Formats: sequence, C-alpha cells, structure tokens
Amino acid sequence: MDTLAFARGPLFIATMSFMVLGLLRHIILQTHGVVRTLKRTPHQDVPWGRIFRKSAEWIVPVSHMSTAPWMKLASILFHVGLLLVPVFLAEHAFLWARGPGVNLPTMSHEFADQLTVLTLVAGIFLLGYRIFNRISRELSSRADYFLPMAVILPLLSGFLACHPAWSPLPYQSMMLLHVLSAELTFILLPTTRLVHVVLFPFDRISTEIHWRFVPGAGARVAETLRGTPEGAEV
Amino acid sequence: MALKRLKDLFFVLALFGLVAGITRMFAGLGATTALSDEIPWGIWKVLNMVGGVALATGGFVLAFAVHVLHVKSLKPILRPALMVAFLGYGASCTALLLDIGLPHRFWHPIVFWNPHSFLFEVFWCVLLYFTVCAIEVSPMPLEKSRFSGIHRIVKKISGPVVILGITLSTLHHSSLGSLFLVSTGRIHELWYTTWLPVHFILSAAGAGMMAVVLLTLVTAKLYHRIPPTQVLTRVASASAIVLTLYLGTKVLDLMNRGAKSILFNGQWEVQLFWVEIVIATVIPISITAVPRLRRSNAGLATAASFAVAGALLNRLDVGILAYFRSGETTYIPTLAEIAVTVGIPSAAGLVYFYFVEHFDVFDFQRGPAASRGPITAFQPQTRVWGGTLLNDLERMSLIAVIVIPVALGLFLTSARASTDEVPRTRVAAPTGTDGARDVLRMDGDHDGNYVLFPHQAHRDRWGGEDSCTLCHHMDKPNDHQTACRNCHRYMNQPTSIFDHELHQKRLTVKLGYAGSLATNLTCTECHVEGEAKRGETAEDCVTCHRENMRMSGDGSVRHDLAPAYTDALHANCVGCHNKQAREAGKPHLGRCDTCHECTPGIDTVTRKDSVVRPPAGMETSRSIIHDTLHTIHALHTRKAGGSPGQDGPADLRPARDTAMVRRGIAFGAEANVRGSRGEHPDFRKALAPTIKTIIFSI
Repeated sequence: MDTLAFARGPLFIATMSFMVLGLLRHIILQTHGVVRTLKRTPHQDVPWGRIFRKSAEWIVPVSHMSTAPWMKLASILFHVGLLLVPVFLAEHAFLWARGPGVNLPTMSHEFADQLTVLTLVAGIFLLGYRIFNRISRELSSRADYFLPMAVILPLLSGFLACHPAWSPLPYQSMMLLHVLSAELTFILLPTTRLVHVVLFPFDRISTEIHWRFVPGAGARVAETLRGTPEGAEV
Repeated sequence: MALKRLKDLFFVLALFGLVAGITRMFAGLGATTALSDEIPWGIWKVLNMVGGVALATGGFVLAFAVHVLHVKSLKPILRPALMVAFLGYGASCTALLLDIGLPHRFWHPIVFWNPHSFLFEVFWCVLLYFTVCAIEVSPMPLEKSRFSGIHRIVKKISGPVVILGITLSTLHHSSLGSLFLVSTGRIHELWYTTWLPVHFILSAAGAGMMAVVLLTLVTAKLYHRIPPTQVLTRVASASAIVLTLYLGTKVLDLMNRGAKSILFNGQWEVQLFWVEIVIATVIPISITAVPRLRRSNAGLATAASFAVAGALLNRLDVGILAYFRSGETTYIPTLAEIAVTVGIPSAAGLVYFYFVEHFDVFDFQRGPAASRGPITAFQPQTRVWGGTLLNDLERMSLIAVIVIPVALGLFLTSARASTDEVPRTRVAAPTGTDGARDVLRMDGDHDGNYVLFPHQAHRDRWGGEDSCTLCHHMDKPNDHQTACRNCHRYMNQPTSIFDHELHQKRLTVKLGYAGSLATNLTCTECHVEGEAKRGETAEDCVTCHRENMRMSGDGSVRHDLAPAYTDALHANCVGCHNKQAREAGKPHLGRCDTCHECTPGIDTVTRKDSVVRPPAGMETSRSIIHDTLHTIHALHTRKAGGSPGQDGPADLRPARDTAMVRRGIAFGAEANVRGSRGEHPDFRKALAPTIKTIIFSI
C-alpha cells in the first residue's frame, strides 16, 4: 500500500475514530465529574443560567469588543473558518457521503477559497499578536505557538492542493501533506488544549461548582468528596 | 499491581476482539477471515470452540466427583471449576456465533432438526450444558443479592441439574471427536482412528482438571492468597491417571491399527505427533508422578500448563494441522481471526476476575476487602476533575480510546477494501423509442442517462434473423433470443445464474428418487463420484441443455456466472466496434462518443457510472465531476486495444471468486471505485520521487 493510500485509509479511520472517541470520553468524564462533585457538595444551587450566558459570551465575545477588538475579530474569523471549511467543503462532503453516509450541504468553491484565505490571514495575525504583544507573549507557553500552526497547516496545504498553480509541491505530495497534517490535528484535538472544542461549557461549570466549596476548606475537601473523615478506610 | 496490569492487558485484547467481531458481523466471514471453500473452518472453531470446550471439562468432572462420588475434600475448588465450565462454554458459544455463516440463524437447529448430523447433537448438548452451567454458577451472584427466592429454587433443582450436566458433557465431548470421523482420508492417519471419540473425552477430562488446577494457582498468586495445595495435588493425580489412560488407549490403538511403522518415518506430522504426545501426556504425568513435585505449587503449575497446552495442540492438530494438509492451500489466519481468538478468552478472564472479586468463588479467598487508597487533600494544583476521583474509569476509557481506533484501522479498512459497496442496481428493461422498437433506449440503472441502440439497423446490417446469435449468445431454457438483462441482472455485479437447488429438485423428480434425503442421490449426475464437488469440475451445462438452450458450449466457458450488465454490454459491443474500426476503416466506431453522447457541458454527459456519481447536493461541484470523468476516461484509454469488460469476471480465480461474487464485487466495478478515488495503479511510481523529496527535505 502506498503512503497516500495508507494515510487516506487505515490511518484516517484510526485517527478520525480516535478523535471522536477521545472527545466523547472527555465529555463523559467531565459530566461524570460534575455529577459526582455536585452530589458531594452541600450547595446544590448551581446558577445554570449564568453558566449558559457566560459560555455564550465566551463563544461570541461581542460584549468584550472594546479591548483588543482586532484580535477578537480575528479570533472569531479564525474559528468560523476552521469549523466551516473542513466540514462543508464540497470535496469533503464527498468523504462524508462515502464514509458515514451523511449528505451535507456544500459551499461554493469561491466562497471556500475566500474563507480559507481569511482564516489563514486571521491565524497568522493571531500568531503575530501572540509574538509581538508583550502580555500575550508572557502568558504563552510553547504549545500556544505550536498548536495554531498545527491547525493552520491542513488548511494551507488543502488550499495549495486545490490550487496547484501556486503549490511548490506536486499535487500528490501536497495532498499527502494535507491528509497527514489533518490527521495530526485529529490526534491533537483530544490530547491537547484543543479539547476546548467540546469542553468549553464545562470550563464555566467547573468554575461555578468550585465556588460552592466553603472558602478555606483546604484539606477537608478530600473528606467532603469522600463523605468520611480523613484517614478512614473506605 | 500485576493483577491490574493483567486486567489492562485482557481489556486491550478483549477490545481488539470486540472490534474484529463487530467487523466480521457487518463485513462477513470472507472479508475478515482467511477461510475459503478449501478451508471451511479456522482457529475460531478449533481453538475457541473445540479447544475451549475441552478445557472447560473440569466443571463436570469435579461436579461428578463432589456430588455423585461424594468426595467432599474437593469441594473448595468446585466453584472455580464451575466458573471454568461456564466461561469456557460461554466463550465457545460466542466463537461459534461468529464462526457460523449466518449468525442470525443460530437458533435454527432448535427448530429445524437434522438428526443425521453429529453437530446437531453437539449443538443441543452445548446449548443445554451451557444452560446447566449458568444454573450451577447462578448461586454465586444470587446468594449476594436480594433474590433469595430464586436462590432457594436453584438450590432445589441443583441435584437433577448436575446429573443432566454430566450426561450432556459426556455425550457431546465424544461427539466432537465423532465429528472428525466423517473425514476419512483427510486427517493424517496418526490421528484418524475410530477411537477418536474416546480420545477426545479422555484428553478433555484430563486437561480440564488441570485447567482448574492452573486457574486456582494463578488466582491465588494474583490475589495473594494461599492455594489449597493438598486438594490440588489430589486433582492433579486424578488428572494424571486419566491422562495415562488416554496415552494407553492411544498406544493400544496405534498398535492395533499397525500404524506404529510410521511413527519414526520423519514426516513433519510424525514429529508434530511426538511433540504433542510429550507435551500433553508425558511431561504432566511424569511431573505428577514425583511426590515432591506434585506437592509443590510450582510443580503443579508446570504440569497443568503443559497438559492444557497439550490439549489445545491436540485439537489444533486434529482440526487444522493434520486436517488441511490435503487442502492444497495454506491457511494463515488473518489479524482479525487472531484478535477474536485471543480476545474471547481475555473477555472471559475479565468476567472471571469480576466474579472472584465480587462473589465467593474461592473459600480461601475471603479476607478484608482491598482499600481504595487515600484521596489526596485538595491543593490548588490537584486535578479534582481528573485522576483523583476517576482512576479506573479514566484509565479504562483511555485504553478504549486508544485501542478501538487502532483496531478499526486494522480490521475495518481491510474489510472495507474487499466489500466496498457498489450499489446493487437491478437492470431495467430497454424501452423502444417507437412502437416497433427499432431503436432501443437503454438506461439500465434508470437514471435518465441512456444509450440509443439502433437494434433494427444492426440486425439488417448483419444478416437479419440469422444474426441474432451474434449478440444473443445464450438462451434461457426453451426461450428464444433471451434479453441481456435476464442473465446480466445487475449494473455492476455479476449474477449467479445457475440454480443448484432447482436442478437437484428437478433431477430427483425426473430420475424418480425417493426417501428423506433423495436430493443427495442426484450429485453424481453432474459431479464425479469421489472428487471434490465444485462448479469447475462439474459436467458442462451443454451436456443436458443442448436441445432446449442454445449456448456457446465448448466446455471452456462457464455458464454459471453472468458478468455485470455494464461489463457484458461493453464486452459485447466494444469488441465488435473496435474490430470494425480497424478493419472497415471507421475509426470513430471505437470511440466512446459513438454510443455515449459526450459534449463539453458536464450536465449533458449521457453515461455517468452509478458508482462514481456524486452524492445529492453536490451536483454543482464541478471539480469532482471533472475529476471523475477524467478518471473514467483514463481507465478506458488504458484499456484501449482490448474491450473493457474482458478483464471482468472471466479471469477470476474460482476459490476467491465465489466469495467475491457473494460480496457483490465485479472487477470492473472495483476498478471504477478505485478510479474514483484517484488511486491509479501506476500511482506508486508517480509518487515515489516526491515522497523521497519530502523525507529528505525534512
């Protein structure tokens, strides 16, 4: 089996199912954790409304546009492009139909091209912002530079594969690069901070539930969680 | 810690087995196993079913000793023995369910009785004995539950149930041996004997007891308990006696049959036989014969391991190694087969651990429950959302998330490659463009894209009434110029047009046979007595149908498989057209657009292969359709010079063939599917330099 066939066949199925199962696992574990923790805290009055509102604000940070508006605009664009293009690109719809048998609506090639370029520009802008803005730079770890690049790579290689005239590599090798980089993203999604694609609501929930603990509970948390005094056999 | 690691390992193996089993259910046996017409069963049947059942014999032997012979000292290990029986039979049934051709018909022997079959008896015994095992095991969970009423009922019926279990077990173990008696001349003579039933039940009883000994020792080791060595020594001694008896019958039988002359002739089967005898009997018997060794746990464990391995090797020899040597093919199990074979016992192991940890399987096992360990105090860095609370769940789910994708990648793609769905489209009849049907509008898949075929014009050009047979090469019985679609029934799959059952029935009536299995008497009408009954070796259809069925019969053409409609029509038309293009100087006759209207606008292309048609909602995506058309074009031009249909089913080899046809694959259609993905055959060459470039530049 040649490399591209392997990357498109077994490797694709393996990485794709790893992503799906891995993300599902995170959702299940987090839900399980929320339920367990809630059962063991004395304060059950979780403000679901506020959690929902904060999460929605987190997705579309319109109300916070006054600070660093360009960065936030780029961020929205970046996320929209990353979600829409891989799912609704006509070529990918073919894969959706052939694999799981889902018929999705598709976007026109012109629109897909424009959105891809905008996403790439937004991604590069965000990366630049992280490098040149002092506060961002000091808050960033190595993964914060690596992950955006890893996510941009399939987009860039896919764009170049669609436009062979601009591509520095032959079509097949560009396609191989595209497939492999996409599969790298599949693996990274459940194993790195990219897991926020499914866990962003839990972020707010866990913060809220942590506030349920009595201030200064400290060492008694274990006792609270277990329901028996410290040191006792369970 | 060792226990935890072992459980993780079992979980991993069980998951691999699960994915392989599910793949088998959806993709079929042919796509997931190395089984074929020559190799009708493999390691699932022999290791999991026949071997698993043999090792599970300990349950009934010890039940017999405790309940019938009243050997009370063996009672401490009766429960583990019953667990072995229950799990062994459960594993066997699972493997069998995967192994039979149509798993959803597993219940058929209950309703449709075939008392002539050994397997019919085996089925009933295994089914009933598995039920008996379940009843015998049920007190373990029941005594810990609230259902004390059910527990009392089970206790009451336990006596008759035990007797029933012993009877059933004796019956079917010997029957599994009898099953192989049918294969005269296939099994190597060192194993093939009329004593096979006796050999089977003796070796099963011996190895089954050793399996209980081994399991008890391993469990005690894993759970840090003291094993009841004295009891185990007694069981091992009893087992050694049975094994000696087994060895004795084997020797006697060999002497009796005069087979001792071949015991030293150096054939590999003979060497295998010796290895098996040494592992299965000589080593365990000798170890047990030494008092110091049989009273030590290490000695017992060694003897038991050898006996168990020897019994499995024996079943493997009788069922595969000494059996398929005449099969002319080599059987190498696929990864999926190995995964299931290993996965089922692993899953059984996990169930066993669950029983041991939650119910009173072992008397000597009772003790303080294991502590869950302290939970660390809350610190800002503590991952409250992760490991601290959810150790087991987190780890197990992580294992599943890693193992299942790998297994899917391994099994699903290889299965998909051979079962890739080609839509099974029934060919529709051509319609006439006018009442006289002079010009036919051929649209086999009814998608509105058609070919206009000037039927009358062809007829006139090639000689009127006499020319029909040029294209209509074969008729149905008592028919005249049968239409193409009567045999070439599907657009992209070949059709089996030989109704075997119908022929059997008609011949039975015609020849006046009577009786319960009268149809079996008709075999020799077409097949040669004593030879393997296959399509290729059977009498040619022409022999009987010369009168009522016109066919091009010189014996070289097979009449039981009609190629796909597209393949057949291309072969029929293109061959002639190409010839005319060359000889009559009409080059346009060899071009696609002679029949298929092909104008630059994409929407007006008349022939789109149904395999590569883009899904709904994508008709506007021009690039894909362009690609597809280019691919089709490339495929056709590559085949130029020969007709596209010629490398169709005609050169399928028989063994793989039937399996492939069953799965609905025509080579032509498969090529189209490949084409639609851009996987050109010469693609590897094209890509090689670029891959090198990538690697070097990295």
